[in-house]
Amino acid sequence: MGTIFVLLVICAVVVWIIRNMINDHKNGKSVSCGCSCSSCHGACHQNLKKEIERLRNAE
Amino acid sequence: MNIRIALAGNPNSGKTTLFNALTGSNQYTGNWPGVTVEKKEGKLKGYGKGETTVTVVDLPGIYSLSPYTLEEVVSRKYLLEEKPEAIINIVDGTNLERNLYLTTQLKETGIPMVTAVNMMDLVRKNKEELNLAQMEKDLGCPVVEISALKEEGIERLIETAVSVAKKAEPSHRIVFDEKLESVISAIETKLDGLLPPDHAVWYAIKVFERDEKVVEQLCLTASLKRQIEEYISSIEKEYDDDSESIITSARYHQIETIIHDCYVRRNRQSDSISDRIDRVVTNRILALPIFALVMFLVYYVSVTTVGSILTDFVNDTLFGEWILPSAAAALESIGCAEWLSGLVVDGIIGGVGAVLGFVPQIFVLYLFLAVLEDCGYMARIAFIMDRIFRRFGLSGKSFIPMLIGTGCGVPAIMASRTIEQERDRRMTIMTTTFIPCSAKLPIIALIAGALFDGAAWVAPSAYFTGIAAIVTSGIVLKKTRLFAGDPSPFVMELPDYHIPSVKNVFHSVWERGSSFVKKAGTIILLSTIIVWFMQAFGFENGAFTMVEDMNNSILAMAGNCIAWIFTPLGWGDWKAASAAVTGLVAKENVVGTFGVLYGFGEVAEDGMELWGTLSSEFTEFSGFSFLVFNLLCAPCFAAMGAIAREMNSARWFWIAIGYQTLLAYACSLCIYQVGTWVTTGVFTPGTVIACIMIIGFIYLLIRPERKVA
Repeated sequence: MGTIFVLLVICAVVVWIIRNMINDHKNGKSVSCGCSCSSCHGACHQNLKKEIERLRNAE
Repeated sequence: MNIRIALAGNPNSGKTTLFNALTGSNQYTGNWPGVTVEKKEGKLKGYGKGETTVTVVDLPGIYSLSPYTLEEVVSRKYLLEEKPEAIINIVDGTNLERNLYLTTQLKETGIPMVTAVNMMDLVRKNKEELNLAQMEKDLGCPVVEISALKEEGIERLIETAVSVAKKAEPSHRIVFDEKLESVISAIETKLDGLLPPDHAVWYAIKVFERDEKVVEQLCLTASLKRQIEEYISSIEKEYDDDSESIITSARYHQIETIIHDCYVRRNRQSDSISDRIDRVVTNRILALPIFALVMFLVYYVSVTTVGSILTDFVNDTLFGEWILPSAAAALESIGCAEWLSGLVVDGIIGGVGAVLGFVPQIFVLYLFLAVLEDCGYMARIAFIMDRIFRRFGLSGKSFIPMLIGTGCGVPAIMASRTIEQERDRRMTIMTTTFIPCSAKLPIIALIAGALFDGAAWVAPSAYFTGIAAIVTSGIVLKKTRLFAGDPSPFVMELPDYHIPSVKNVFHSVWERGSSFVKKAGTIILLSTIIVWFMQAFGFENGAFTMVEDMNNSILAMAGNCIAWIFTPLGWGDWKAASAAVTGLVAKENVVGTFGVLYGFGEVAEDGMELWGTLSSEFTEFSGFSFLVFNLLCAPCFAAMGAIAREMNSARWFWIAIGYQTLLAYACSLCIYQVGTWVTTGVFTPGTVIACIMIIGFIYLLIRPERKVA
């Protein structure tokens, strides 16, 4: 019982974190940055893979 | 009815403070389309909803509307094409002469305008007095005195701005002398039909100044260009000056008149307190030693003394005696399975706890940096470094992103946008992340504490290693075909020194520090779970199971595939290699991974904790080599994304990452190989390679500069 409870809590936390990361990604924010966005002057969109693909397509 | 008001002013005039006061939290930050310049918009307080909504658009800080910088081009494009209903021109009341230059140009656009004279509290403090009614008469537009910092005069400014926007009376520009006016009028007549009617005079003035962008935009025929050139040349002969200078002089002549009219009492004291301090702090001989001493103290206090005391409490007492035993006991009491208990205690708490243990040091560091920034000293550092950089073909402008990089590499890379010259900008992007950001601080503190017994020199040496890497990289790269050329011009305003505002410092420390903690609770937590699984499970006795010996784990298998690459650096162990790789996600992960792998979550039988077990795995040189590698190598994915975006070229992106990684590898190899040879006398092939690298690097440093045609 204790195992299931702890497992559920960990799963809930992980799901919540991943959900926030997906939301950040959809809003154009970096998922791994963690810096406060005001210090970046709103110029985020730090999806590395997409950036490399975009650059490859542009060239 | 939706009204748009553009907020324009010089940098350091208090524009951001005013923008925040006008809009509160109703802001949106983005980019100006097609360019990499920040754009901020917000709803004016009290006018966010209802019949009349007012949007304030914060233009970039500019000194003029000339076409020399991206910010200036973006601002004037917005004013002329988007045609906001009004402009709030903020001027620094303590520096009217320079600020009014932009004011004269904004009036030429014809857009209704109100001038906000800011920092009036400082004007009064300087025992100066301005006749704003006279200024209003001279400028021909409403003038409102404000103090954006103290939020004085804001209500009146809002009322005046909205009223000006609603009346929609065009702003009247300052009139030049007769001869100049006649030439501008002649150009306007010549270009009749080609010029936008609302801004005909502005365009005529710009054509007179031979503004490249305007001339290009108007698509003038060769015949028209010739005729206009005749007009311009004739007046240039008469004034014995070029057209742009003629207009500039005419504007400043007007400004002199305004200054003369509106100053009731002016403080003629030549040397302010800031000037006197700067005589010492920016002195040719003393500047660098003072800078070195300041940064030494910052890192010494943050990492070694005050920060270390607090970190010891967090690690030993908070985690070691309270959280870990309590968590283990609680999990045991509810009958949690051993493997899950291991995940929670050794994985999550061990990994995240190892990172959170450095939060006190992070906060102390941020406190110092915030104080240095707020008091005005940080601006001086760029000025000091410019003097040195210029000797090597670099510019102090490249150093400003590096100052920002002490917090986070991502905004530091973004800040490179202010550098106009492409090659200097690229070089700055490549080298900015050599400065240790806050995420690397736990690595520095860990190595300093575990391997050097908290020695005072380790943390500052990490900072100065970054500076050395930037300077030497700049020297070497400037001599290559890709980067050769004159350094960018560097003009910078040094703000006055002032006592750091407690509110600003607290806000800065809290914002950055809480981001660090938030990151630990999200991406680092996820990473430690993954790392724990990978080190806990593997193939043992022919089956996939929870392993008893970590060396049989999946992580060990993966780590061993790449560990050999780092053998010449002194840390060819799968644990160190894995930690370095996890650092690509977030640099704090290096510490988090060590926390999982070296048992931060448990005390070994012999009583050794993380730092103790770590010190048995590394020698001093291999530990410093590991530190330098993680400091200089490719940054985290977020920063790499910023590099990709700012370079805007896949080729340049890979050049940047490749250069950083190779430099990190070379430096680490030299440190370990030469250090080991010097201390043990053992000469190996690695030592030979290190010596060749050092000689090669010295040659690249001292070889003659490439001449640029």
